[in-house]
Amino acid sequence: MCVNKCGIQCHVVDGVLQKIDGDPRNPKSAGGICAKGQAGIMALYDPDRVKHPMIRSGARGEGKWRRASWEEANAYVADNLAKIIKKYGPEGLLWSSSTDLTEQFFVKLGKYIGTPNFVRHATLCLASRNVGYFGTMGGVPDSDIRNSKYILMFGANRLESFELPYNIELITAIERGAKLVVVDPRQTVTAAKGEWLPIRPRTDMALTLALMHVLIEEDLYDKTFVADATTGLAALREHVKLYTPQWAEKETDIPAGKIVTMARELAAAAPSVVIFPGRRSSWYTNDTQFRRTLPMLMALLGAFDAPGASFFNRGKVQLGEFDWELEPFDIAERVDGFDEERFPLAHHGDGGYVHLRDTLLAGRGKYPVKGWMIYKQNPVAAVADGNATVELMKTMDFICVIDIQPSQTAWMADVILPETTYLERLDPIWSPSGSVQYVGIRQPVVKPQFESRTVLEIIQGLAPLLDKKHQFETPLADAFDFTMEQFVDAQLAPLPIDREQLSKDGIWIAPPENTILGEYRSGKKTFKTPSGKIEFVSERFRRNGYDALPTYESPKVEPEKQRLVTGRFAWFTHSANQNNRWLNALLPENTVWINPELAKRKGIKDGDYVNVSSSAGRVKIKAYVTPRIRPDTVYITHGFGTNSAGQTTLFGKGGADQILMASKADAITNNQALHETLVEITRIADS
Amino acid sequence: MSKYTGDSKVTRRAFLKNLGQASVAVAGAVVSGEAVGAAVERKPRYGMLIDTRKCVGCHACSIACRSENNVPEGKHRSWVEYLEQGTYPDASIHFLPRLCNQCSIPRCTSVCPTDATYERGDGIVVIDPELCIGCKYCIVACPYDVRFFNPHTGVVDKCDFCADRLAEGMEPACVATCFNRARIFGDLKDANSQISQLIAEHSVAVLMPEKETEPNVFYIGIEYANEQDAAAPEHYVRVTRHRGPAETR
Repeated sequence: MCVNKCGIQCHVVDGVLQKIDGDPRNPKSAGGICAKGQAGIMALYDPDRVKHPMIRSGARGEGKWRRASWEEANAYVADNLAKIIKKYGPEGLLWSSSTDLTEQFFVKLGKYIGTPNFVRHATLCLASRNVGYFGTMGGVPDSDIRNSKYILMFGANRLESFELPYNIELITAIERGAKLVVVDPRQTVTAAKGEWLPIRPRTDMALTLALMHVLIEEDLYDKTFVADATTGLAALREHVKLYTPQWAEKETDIPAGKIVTMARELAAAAPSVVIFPGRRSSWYTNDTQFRRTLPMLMALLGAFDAPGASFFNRGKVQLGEFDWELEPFDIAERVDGFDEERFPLAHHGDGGYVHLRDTLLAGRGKYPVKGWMIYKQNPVAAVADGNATVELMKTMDFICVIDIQPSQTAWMADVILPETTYLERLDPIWSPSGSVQYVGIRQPVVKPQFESRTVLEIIQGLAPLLDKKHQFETPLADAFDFTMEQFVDAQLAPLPIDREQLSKDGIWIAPPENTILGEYRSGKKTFKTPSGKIEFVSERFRRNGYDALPTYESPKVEPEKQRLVTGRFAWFTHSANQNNRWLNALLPENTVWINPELAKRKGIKDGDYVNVSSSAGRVKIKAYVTPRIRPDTVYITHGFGTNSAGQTTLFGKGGADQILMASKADAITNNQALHETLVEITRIADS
Repeated sequence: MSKYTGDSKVTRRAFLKNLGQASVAVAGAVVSGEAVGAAVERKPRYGMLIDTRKCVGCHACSIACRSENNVPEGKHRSWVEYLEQGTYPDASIHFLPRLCNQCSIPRCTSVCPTDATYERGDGIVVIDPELCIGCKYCIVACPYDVRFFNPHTGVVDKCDFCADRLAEGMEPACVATCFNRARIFGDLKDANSQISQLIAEHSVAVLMPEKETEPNVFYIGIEYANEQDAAAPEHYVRVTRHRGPAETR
């Protein structure tokens, strides 16, 4: 149901799943599971599931389908892919998917076929955070929230957007008396459980710079840590000189006195301070530079490599490597120029979603791309400017979607192939990064429902047909000539547990090993940056044409418009389960959050339908008048306003935030920027 | 054993300071010594303690209950109410998990014409589906609105602390699934149980004490999250019950 992969135990009677319980042995979820985990049954037995292969019989997006056998569907997909490969080469295929255990098979199929045009999850989510942190301190640190005295979160909403174990540790820490400060234009549940600082949106960097200003000017920074583990203090001191609390107050709407107090309290609590990195960082066009200021602030406080601070955890259990025998061969360059030259610091293999789409739509692609294979991803909902994504789909000769439900993207496809859910299949072994190292196995608890197949089985069905039509460097049938059991065995080879035992136990926990703190402080370990230290000044950024020190720019403001922000409730993940009947009942229709003052000005009452419009689009949505948001900001929960009539529970209710979001992205990583759109709200007269 | 025992006093003080409130039991009655007295019988008296400070309104309990007890769509054995208060920027939201209070003086049992609903001796008020005729008197009699008529079974239903799970040595589904351990279940008669110790250490309250039903579901922190606080309905910007438009009664 989500990326956390909490440990679960399933109660099955006569082949029917009755109940999902948390597995108390799981080191991260510790027996708990959330509403989504509890509602997994309804994903499995969802009457709206894609039950058999479906081939489009009407116009694209019209919603007319005919049932096809796997034999017919496989031939249909193979024919169409082969046609495109013959006419345009393998690079004529766009290959997109999102993170999960089985994504690697789908990605490998694309690699064997030879397309360079992959686009994955990162630039819809956390690419800017990763590049910001890696560029500053060589990695994204773990957070010892459990033992922290002061936890500072920018926008991160761990109590509604769960990320194990932070969501659990946060409650423990608050109970212990730790201070939680949440900087967010909206009062999330996380903000409500701590101190809410309703910052003016897109000014977060002004606050971090001003905090650094106070720490340096008042001589409150950790001199030993800064001397031993960082470089560039002199330049930073000069850089933040003008970023005074008084200046920041005008930008952020947070009183200067409050900023000074915050800096002093942070210094007093240091090093047991967590400056939380956050996860989804798809906010602003300067997001990478903003994220850089977080480890910089952390470093000034010396809030690293100490109890209650940030630290580098032990990482994952080292699993065995499956031998793919994929020899390198010549492939074309990317169609969109998402490369070293254009985006020198980005992770190119994952692609840049906004850049890719807009380049192709503008006709600036280096060659034609006419086929789109999509697995476990819903770009129509996930990418800002949803209408533009639909436009891109219209330019394709062929679109195939593999999914468990008729998502918005699937609805626009030519063929939908039904996949098994996580409860119906054996998956590759998973090992999460964390303080306690363990591996988990996901095994089938019930037989695949309807005619669904695993993605590996789907690939194995297509491979021989594709081989007949095209000579690939490695025959695809040979490349995928293995079972999931063999794959799992290869992964488990280095571990002292085999598949049989792990299947019985469900989990294997590595022998405990104390996390050793202090090795970065003592210089025994160095940071994976060019200097081996935390870099206030990044020569790498400068060399590539970016600011070496994060420089603030004021946001664009139009007084009569509001900035749109998005997020989630605790029982929804992305656009994945709004159609789950149990979860949908908790919020059948999303709303736009409006501050009472703004509502009054606009003559809007709670529950009125309003039009929200932007440069990108317009949606009709219900107003939710609440004091838990700034007057210059509005909020829409993501995942509603589906165009897919196949999602019968969800269809026809709520409005889609992505329709409103302008096509914007972070300058350095092309991480989409979802909080860069100003909208106008008008009451619908007769509502 | 309680992982909160060690420093709960400190936490309580810090919590009060944050809240800026002097009184801790405005809405509820402080539990009497009797309820937590030493066990004299071998039968337990089951109860639940809900720490609303730890509740994040995630509805894991609501869905766990639905799944465990086959609660029909639109009906609820267990749910979480959201209470929004204040004006910008001094706004807040609090959560009130709700379920049958398993009252020691239940109003529902005395009105039942067939004795289908009764307290079974361990504190749990149950319904015998064989005896229930679906007359719904109990639904009307319950001051907490926790009972519903199940159209699939033709009888009245409500929370029974997951009696089937208890019989198998498991905790109620809502308790087991809660990430934050906001719900503590146990034997109120056993002075060493976690629930008894927490009740002894904290100021706890019950919903609608004026009804004198002596609930066995206790709360920490409902002084600011009690929708039954009839004295000040304007106190709330909004109460979202999460029971949908068509599902009550």
